[in-house]
Amino acid sequence: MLTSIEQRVVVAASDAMFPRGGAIAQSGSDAGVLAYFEGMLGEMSPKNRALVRLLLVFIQLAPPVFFLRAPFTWQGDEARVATLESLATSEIYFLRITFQSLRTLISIAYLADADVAAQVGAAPNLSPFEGRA
Amino acid sequence: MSHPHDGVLGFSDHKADIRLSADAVVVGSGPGGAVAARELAVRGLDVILVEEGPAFSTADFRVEAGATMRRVFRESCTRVMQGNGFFPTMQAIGLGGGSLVNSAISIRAPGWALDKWASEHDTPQLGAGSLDDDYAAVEEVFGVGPTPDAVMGERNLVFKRGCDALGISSEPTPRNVRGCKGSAECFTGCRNGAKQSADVACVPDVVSRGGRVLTSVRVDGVKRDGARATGVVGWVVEPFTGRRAHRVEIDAPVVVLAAGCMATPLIMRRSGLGVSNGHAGRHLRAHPGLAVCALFDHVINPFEGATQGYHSLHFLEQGMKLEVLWGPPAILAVRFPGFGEPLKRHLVAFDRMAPFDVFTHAPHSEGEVRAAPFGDDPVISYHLDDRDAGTLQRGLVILSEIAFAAGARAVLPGVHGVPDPITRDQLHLLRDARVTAKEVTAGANHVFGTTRMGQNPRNSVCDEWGRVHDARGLYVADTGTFPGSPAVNPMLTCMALARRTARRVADDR
Repeated sequence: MLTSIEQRVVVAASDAMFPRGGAIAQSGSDAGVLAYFEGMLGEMSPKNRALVRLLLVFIQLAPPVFFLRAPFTWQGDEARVATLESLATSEIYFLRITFQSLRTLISIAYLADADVAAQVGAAPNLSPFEGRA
Repeated sequence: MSHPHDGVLGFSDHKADIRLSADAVVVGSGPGGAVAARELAVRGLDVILVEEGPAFSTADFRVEAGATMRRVFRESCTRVMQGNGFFPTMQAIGLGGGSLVNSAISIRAPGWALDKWASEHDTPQLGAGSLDDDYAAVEEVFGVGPTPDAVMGERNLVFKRGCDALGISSEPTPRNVRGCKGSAECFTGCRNGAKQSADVACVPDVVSRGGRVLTSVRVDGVKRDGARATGVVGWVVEPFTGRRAHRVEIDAPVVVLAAGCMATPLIMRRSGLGVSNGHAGRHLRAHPGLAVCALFDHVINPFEGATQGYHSLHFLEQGMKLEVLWGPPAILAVRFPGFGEPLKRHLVAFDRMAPFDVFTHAPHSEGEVRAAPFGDDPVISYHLDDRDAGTLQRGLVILSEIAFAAGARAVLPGVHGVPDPITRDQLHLLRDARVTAKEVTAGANHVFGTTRMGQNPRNSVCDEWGRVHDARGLYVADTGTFPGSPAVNPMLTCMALARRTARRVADDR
């Protein structure tokens, strides 16, 4: 579904947003963000699929256009974090929205992993108050 | 044991082109359409209710947020209104419409809000008290009652305690549920079957009275004979892909459009009915909303308890409603700042967190829905006026004060330029910030006004009974008819107006 460059953007962004270790052990890659992303796109309409792919292309090319940096996937880990930080805190509204859109999609994919969801505490309980006084 | 969807025809039942006739056809099975269809059936009309989406049973609901968003919401839940900002808006597609996945909040519009409609929007028959009988009737059908204490949970109770400490009135949210167990899964569909969504509360009554309910049928246009509606045309469409399978043509002297305020005006425009004055699709109004996440030292366990079990109407006349909020963590995490380890730390702190939201009537903000040059999805514009953004900002401050009064150690306000989180001592940073559409991401799921009512055919689309001015036999029964904000969550008012419209349809015959 995704081109190899688009796949690399998803992996790079998900691991920058959710690096391995820390409060939740799994990285974006560990949580299967890329596979989820591909499945998600497969269920979207052609229009929405195109918009998501456009978002990935934008993330790849925003660093040279806006920050005089190498394309996103060419960067090392620290530079990717800096790029995401620049997007998230930009004074340009559109860049902030771009970051938020990407983070929302990746967060949905990350939290879809059962182990991650368990660490967040999201354990579905259909009758949480049953038996309580 | 019977199932609420017994007798409902789905995609696999449609094996060839469909040609049917009835006394009335209702387009859209959300709260408005389902109530209208039920009322018409109760009054003895031969009714066909058509719904573009499939029927979802309790076994079909998925707690994973993304799966629900892609299956149950239009445009995979990526729909936005664009203007001076991007405003996410969710519209469901499925039997029962938005009632499948909303928080079941069923509250009457205050009398002063209806009086405002009457005085400002030329709907004198719809003043305070005019809908009381219809409200009472739909409350009975949908089992509306206050959220019981037994399923509140700490997330709702801290909101109440905060309000009490500040002298702000609050109350258990009235909801259309029967036997709620507080599983907090409203957004992804109630797997307990407690929510009385429109497909549960109304569709069985339509079927039992001989009405026909067809899902996976998309209506593209209204058939007409001059200025008279004579039925609808459309397609059987495959669930989730929307691929066309068979043609559909339904003849009926009464057509009730209840496809939602985004779709109904587009059907009218395609059909050339109700569009002579150019107002169909314009005057889109919404209730933009924002949320704060309150961080506590003690365990909240927000994963349990009625989804939105408590609210405050204290500031309603000042243009805002305050609520407890809940949804899947993946959705609520949108409100969290940053990424990386700080984001992970917020995620694992979910159990000590309580989200509260504010929405405003946004009287100064407006938009429009138009057909896109390609495809079936609409183009939606919306401009959030700075004055309404300011109301939201005041709401965020009040929500933060409620949180602090309840013992929160910090809140995440989610406003660009304001630190995340802030403590009580830093609340002035939120109060003094300049907040416009671009400093926040305001969602707006309550949308209305695109086929507004009014007595004057020059500046409204339908009359106070939902009858389209320049067409005979054509009615509207969704939130598009609202001439202004109902001040509160719109579902119950939509249903009361739909019942009122259906009564008129029966009387007009």
